[in-house]
Amino acid sequence: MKRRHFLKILTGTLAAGVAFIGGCSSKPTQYYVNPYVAKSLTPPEIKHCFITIGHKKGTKPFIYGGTCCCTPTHELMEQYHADGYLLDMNVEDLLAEYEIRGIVLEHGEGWQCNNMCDSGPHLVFGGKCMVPPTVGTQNYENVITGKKPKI
Amino acid sequence: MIRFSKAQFMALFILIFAMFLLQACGARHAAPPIQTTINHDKKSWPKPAEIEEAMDYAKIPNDSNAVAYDKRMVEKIDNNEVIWADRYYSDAMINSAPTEMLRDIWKANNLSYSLEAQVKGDNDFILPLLNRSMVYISVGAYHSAFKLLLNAKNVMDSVYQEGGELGAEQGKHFKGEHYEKALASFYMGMMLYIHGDYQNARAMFLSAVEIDRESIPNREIIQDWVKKNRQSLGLSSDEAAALYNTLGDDNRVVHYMLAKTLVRLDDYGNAKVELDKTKQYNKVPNHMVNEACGAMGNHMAKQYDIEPSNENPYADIERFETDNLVVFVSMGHAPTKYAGGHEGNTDYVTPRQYPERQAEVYVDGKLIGEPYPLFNLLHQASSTSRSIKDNIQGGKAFGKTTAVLAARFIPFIGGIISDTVQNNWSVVADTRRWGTAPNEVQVLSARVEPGLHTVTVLFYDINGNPLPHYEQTHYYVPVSDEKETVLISRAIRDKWNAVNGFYCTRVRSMEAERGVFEYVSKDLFENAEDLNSGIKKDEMVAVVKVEFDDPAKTQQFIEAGTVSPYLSEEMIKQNFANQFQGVKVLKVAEAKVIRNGKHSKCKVTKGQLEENQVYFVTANNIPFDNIIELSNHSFVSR
Repeated sequence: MKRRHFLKILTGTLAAGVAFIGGCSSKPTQYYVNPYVAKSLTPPEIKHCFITIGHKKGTKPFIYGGTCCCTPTHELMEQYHADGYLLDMNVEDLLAEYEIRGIVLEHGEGWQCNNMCDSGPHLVFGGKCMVPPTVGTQNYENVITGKKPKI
Repeated sequence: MIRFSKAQFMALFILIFAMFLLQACGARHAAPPIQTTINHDKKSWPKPAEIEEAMDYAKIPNDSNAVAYDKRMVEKIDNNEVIWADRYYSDAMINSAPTEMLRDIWKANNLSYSLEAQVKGDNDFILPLLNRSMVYISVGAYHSAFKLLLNAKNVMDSVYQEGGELGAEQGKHFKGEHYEKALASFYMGMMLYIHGDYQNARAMFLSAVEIDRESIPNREIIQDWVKKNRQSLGLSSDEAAALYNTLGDDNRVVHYMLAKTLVRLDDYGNAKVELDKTKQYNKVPNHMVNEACGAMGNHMAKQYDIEPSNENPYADIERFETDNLVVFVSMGHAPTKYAGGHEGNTDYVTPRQYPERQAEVYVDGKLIGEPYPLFNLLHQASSTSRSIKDNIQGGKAFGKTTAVLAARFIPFIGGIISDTVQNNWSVVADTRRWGTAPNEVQVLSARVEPGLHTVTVLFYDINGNPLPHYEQTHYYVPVSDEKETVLISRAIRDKWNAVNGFYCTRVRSMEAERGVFEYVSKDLFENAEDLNSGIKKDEMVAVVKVEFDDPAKTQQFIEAGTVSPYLSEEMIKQNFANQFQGVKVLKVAEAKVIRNGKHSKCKVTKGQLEENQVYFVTANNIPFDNIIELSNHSFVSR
């Protein structure tokens, strides 16, 4: 085979290969769009209260149809009474009621579970855990605002 | 038969050599330059016209990352998934690995991010405990995180070790490097501190300090280093020896927390001693970085372990008593490991790249300060003596090489035995690591008016460019005079983004007047592996326009913004970082799928299409009709 002939065949094969590959490939049409939308610096309205953020006046316990998830104390009972709620109950009665319903108010030695323990999720989301959520987490905000995460 | 002359052969050889040389030079120039300083001059983020506030929280859908990220995160544990890995090898790849060495390295990589529980006693069972603890800490479930870390620490601290004597180091029970053990103790101490158990918190921080000190090399090694390196370090023998000793006791965030804990326990004298240790940053000498990071990592290490440019403003006993808000900001991911040496017998660390390098903390929209870098895992990993471990591994590699060579002299079957030994005796170094740990921890403390506050953490890259995808806004952070509030914040891309990223595809064969068009069906699969997961007949799609504030950028997006099918979702997100500045996604129509196939056909049911416009189709679940890029960088005041 002559050298020139060989080079012709080589060039032809390369050109055909490039054309074949170019012809077969198609331009991708899928795009990924990822804009960032920040949430406002203005906090939303408080729906549920608990001891970390303080009791919201005029609310009654969640288990009685209210929005208060504060851990019962003597001061809290006085507040309930002042607002006209649970007039026939004292703090021990309320604690007993939570216990009867299987609602966890605190873990051993006060550890934070952020309502992800066996009794979770939080009472307001259908669970049996009423331990105050951990500050600065999504669950904390979700419980305050009543926004139930959809996964 | 073709014949080439010697001169032609020589010319061909020179040509190939020149091409290699050009390629090498090109590659060298193509690599981004290593930056060894942080630019503290923060750039601003453009504010969209006519918008005075970011997204109303009440309007954010419940499936948005801003509401549901943590929940999804915890679900990953139940599903035995992996987290925060930027590379993951499939089982098929691992099974078909050509050598034992590669198989071990790939498996180690996967394990470093795996949440899959292992049987107690399994070589790797500590890793999922550590990784799960990271998930629980990031979602605030300290109760679970502490239990897992306690379990892990019990094994990590035990001196009992078996396996891996002759073969791969990964045959050993994973117990972590000293810096990983110290980090586990630090996190346990942090949780005890937040919990208010200061006695046990002190014990944990002291444990972290002790573990860190174990990394101080023995006297002989130090003397050898001093002799070899004191001149290049520009130090006297005593100063050089002091530097090497200090490097093994420089876990500054642990000393900082120990000082805070001691103040809570009224031990001011020791608190001051601990606090002094947080004030000085000691640069790791080059020879140690080279030894720890190898040829691949030592260059990059300079960019990810940078000396702070100022003194720690928060290292002050008085501030410990007056400041009532402390924010811990974790950034990046733990350095990765790779196997080097002749038989992959030496493990080296190398940083994993991450953009977030600086932060600012705002309370109710007003700047209160920048967190100060107090911890760097890469610094901890590179400031240690590795000689003993490397010698053992070197011995194993020598043994293997000798065995392979010796086998060749066996008559008839020597080649087979030699190859079998070569391919099946792995002496690969242990590249397992706690891959989900952060690389940096920065700390800020401040005195804030008692009450409930909105705390915003904004992130910037090394050059001061804003990183909106990382920003965080926490509502109702309680601050009081009686008790210090500790906020732990981990920089995670898009965790607080009100709009989840979404795929779309270009409208094709459009007849605007009739309101019909087609799209490539596979582009809108929910799950690329399930052909039935696409949008079905009679289901609705949304037709959107993607526009940038700059028309040239819009055109660039249309022409070059397509997704490579070979990129993982994580890689796509990294590649598209900051690309969407000034973007608007405008919903122009809704359409029903009237024919399904390779190209699905749709008919517009609401809205109107126009000729000569570029439209995109997406699943009809985008949260708002109009999405405009918004960052709180535009709304806070400095």
